[in-house]
Amino acid sequence: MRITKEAKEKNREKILAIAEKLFAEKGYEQTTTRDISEACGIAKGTLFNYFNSKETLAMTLVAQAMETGRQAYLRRKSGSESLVEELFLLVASELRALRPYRSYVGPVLESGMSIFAKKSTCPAGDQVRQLHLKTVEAALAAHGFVFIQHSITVTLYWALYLGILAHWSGDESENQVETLTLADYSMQVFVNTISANIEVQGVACNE
Amino acid sequence: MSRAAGPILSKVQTKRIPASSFLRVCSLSSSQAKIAGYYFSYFLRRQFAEDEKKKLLKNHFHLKSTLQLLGTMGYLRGAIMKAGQLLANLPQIMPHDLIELFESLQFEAPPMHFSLIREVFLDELGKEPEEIFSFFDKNAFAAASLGQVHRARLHDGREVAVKIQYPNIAQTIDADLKALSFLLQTMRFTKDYQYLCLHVQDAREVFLQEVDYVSEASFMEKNRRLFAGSEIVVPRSYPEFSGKRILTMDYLPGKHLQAFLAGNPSQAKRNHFGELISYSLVHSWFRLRTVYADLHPGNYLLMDDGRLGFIDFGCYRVFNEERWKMEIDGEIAMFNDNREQLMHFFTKLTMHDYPEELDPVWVDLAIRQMRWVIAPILTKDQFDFADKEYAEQGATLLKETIKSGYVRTDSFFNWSNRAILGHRALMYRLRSKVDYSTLYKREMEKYS
Repeated sequence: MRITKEAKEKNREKILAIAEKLFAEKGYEQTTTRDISEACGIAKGTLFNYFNSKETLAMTLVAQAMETGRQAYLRRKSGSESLVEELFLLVASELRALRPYRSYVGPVLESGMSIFAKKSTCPAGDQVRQLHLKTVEAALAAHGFVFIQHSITVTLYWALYLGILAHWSGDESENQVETLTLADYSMQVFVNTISANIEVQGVACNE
Repeated sequence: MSRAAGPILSKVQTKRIPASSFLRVCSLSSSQAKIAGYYFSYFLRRQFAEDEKKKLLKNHFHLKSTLQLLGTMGYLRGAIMKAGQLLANLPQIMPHDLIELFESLQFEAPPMHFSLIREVFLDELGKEPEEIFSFFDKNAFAAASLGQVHRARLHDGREVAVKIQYPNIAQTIDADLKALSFLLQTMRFTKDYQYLCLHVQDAREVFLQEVDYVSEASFMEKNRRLFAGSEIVVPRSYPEFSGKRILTMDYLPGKHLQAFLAGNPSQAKRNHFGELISYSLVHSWFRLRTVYADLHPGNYLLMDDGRLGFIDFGCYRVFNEERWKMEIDGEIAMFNDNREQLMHFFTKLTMHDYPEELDPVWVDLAIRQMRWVIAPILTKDQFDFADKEYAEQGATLLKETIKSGYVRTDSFFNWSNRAILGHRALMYRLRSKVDYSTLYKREMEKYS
């Protein structure tokens, strides 16, 4: 029986919703693809038609949250922010949207968005990474910087960004406030570096 | 900190308070911090007698590690501002020039940018500043201890001041106080080590109270009721727009001391505000049995209509019944010049069992200090707080206290000394002449 595109999309959404619920209830490590397929009332093989692994499923959830965060950033930004402030706003908006997934964002990003990965195994991860970097590129362009894809600047930014996420995933301070200051600090470091601003003058912040 | 500090801020505003100890250890950048480290090292070495040298060497490694930590402190502008204030409460263990150095660092406290403030709002109140206020000024108009203050307008049109705490600052300072305790371990063979630790512990308790803006709002409200109907204005706080790290209160128009003095005010105005500042201290002392540990110019606003704004209530200590009785007995003994009762007070104050155990050198210094403190109370009519001889006497006594290194006193003694010194310094700068005697005795008779 051929299923319609709508029905396929509906199934996909259902699998994601159930996986999200199970990850939250049982924990990411403790949840298996069998648990998810059983809870969805589908065969395990059918589940793999939609997502080829548990990691891909989780990465898709994380990617969706990141996109929600990015959209929140676009809504929240006024255009009068300094570059540091704008980049911080992007990261902070994403972290807020990612909060429900904090317990498993670490292992997911490790496999899906690692700085060493030439190509991610998850298209959703690739897509969200590209969207994030495009957003950074636009922010930089608005402040007179050119962000060349695959350049050392991208590697530096991505390393800092993943570092923030890594710290955040294990941050036990209330509302992960420690990561908030780390994010701000990291964006300062990034902007100072690309400004070749060794003496740390006030060029990039609150100008 | 006023906007006048702008040029300094522009140099440092791209630096943020490092959040983790890792970053702090890595931030060995500030020459001021290195100087602070040097001073601390020098000071600590001076504390050890000859026969303690071997023990010091044993602890050298600990000392070195701690100084490395201290070396990072210059980068913790916001934190160091507080650490400086806390340490200033222990002049006996801190050389004065080091306290000054710490205090100078506070002017480098970096402002939070608006994106960071929005995150603090979302975490604390679940809403963005624009949702809570009809207007919110993105630029801070003043620095507060541990944060900054913004002007805003409520939807009903009321003008407010919003105090916002630096994210993670509380944890950072707490870590620094732990580092300080660690540093003090190098002094653990000295006889007063346990009393030093008590003071540090006490400073930590006051600090933890100060970082909780809910607690501050509640004490502010208590003071608002206390001074209602007087010429002292305490702002109303708005609990619905406040949290642990955000405090929204009425905006009070007025000048800080420096700006007031720049207008070359008349002697009558100087006396008037001097009287109000004195009343704020003495009235809360007797009525609430409270000592304000943070009596500095930034906490007062001198208003054009002659009222005095009293705006910061984070740092205080409340006497318990027993300690209060002891304090009053001590004051009465001093007023009556009753040596026996005074020695009894000193014995309790220094946690000894018998007056014979008291160090006579310290007793002599303490009596001279108390005489200096009560001189304005014993002087009939107006007391000239700008009197050169009185000011010089106070400065000499302070130097002597620092030099003595005597730390065996209860913590209230430190706080009340700090409040009195703060008051006298304010009155000196105001060049105020006040009938302090009548004010003090009236309050004492009425409420003690």
